[in-house]
Amino acid sequence: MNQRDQQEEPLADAVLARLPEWQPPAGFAHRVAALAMLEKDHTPWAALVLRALGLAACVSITAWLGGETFSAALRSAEGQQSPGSVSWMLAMASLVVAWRCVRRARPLSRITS
Amino acid sequence: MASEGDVPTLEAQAHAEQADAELVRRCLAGDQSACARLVSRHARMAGTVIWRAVRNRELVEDLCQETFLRAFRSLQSFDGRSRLSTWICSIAHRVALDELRRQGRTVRFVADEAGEQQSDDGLGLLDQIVADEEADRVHAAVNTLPERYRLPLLYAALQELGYDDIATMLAIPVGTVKTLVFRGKALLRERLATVGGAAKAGGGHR
Repeated sequence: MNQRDQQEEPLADAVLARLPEWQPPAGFAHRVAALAMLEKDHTPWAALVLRALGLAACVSITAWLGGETFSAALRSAEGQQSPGSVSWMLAMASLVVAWRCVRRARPLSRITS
Repeated sequence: MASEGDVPTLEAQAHAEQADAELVRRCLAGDQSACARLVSRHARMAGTVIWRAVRNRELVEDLCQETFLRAFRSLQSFDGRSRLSTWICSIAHRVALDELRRQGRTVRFVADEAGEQQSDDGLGLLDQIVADEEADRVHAAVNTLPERYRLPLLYAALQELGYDDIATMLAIPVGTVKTLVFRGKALLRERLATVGGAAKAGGGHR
């Protein structure tokens, strides 16, 4: 650290410490509380049911895919490798690769050193 | 800057946590005034976290409202393992990240009006102008930092947030937060030298 760096560090710390903080506007807390209460009183049943149906569909499809993959893996282990079992395994592998790509495309989802 | 020594006294902290626990209990029972009290206790902090992340003051009010609505929706799942303020700041951080993703992080290049609000420290006009120029230089340098250094550095500058709070917010180990803040400061020093050099070079042509 040279002399200039030593001068910069306290300056940077001081400026960072003096960054302004957000002040909520008048009535903000009461407005948000009222909205929260309104939301609580009107539970969005339709949205909840749709979410539950979507979740059930995802679980079913995943279970079906898993079952097919497992049986394809068993068949290939027994030496009865069919073109169908290979395509299932390829499909699963591409799903995993696609998932990895999607996760990598969102670098802000995790902040790591 | 955040450090273990900067946090409020243990007694005050315990008192605040007790008050928060009582507010949570009343909110869960449907007490609207308790909800308003909870918002007013933590809105400044949540809003500041959002402002520092998205760098656009216009968005803060809406995003802060979204933060508290999300918090109230999942208040039942708040288990008290972390402080309520840390839990709310974590939600605020996630809301801000969602907004950054939604905007494709273009908000990164929006100028911050932060430097325009700091004129109450009694400096003379000339000193104030010099101080403002220095502050602008630091802001410009901070805004060039990668997000993974910029956010921990800015969060660590909040006195109420300790390294452990930031670690909870970002879902990373405390050691990693310290490393990110340390590297962020080192990088900031480099950028300050660059920004300073460019400013001087630009000034020479006037």
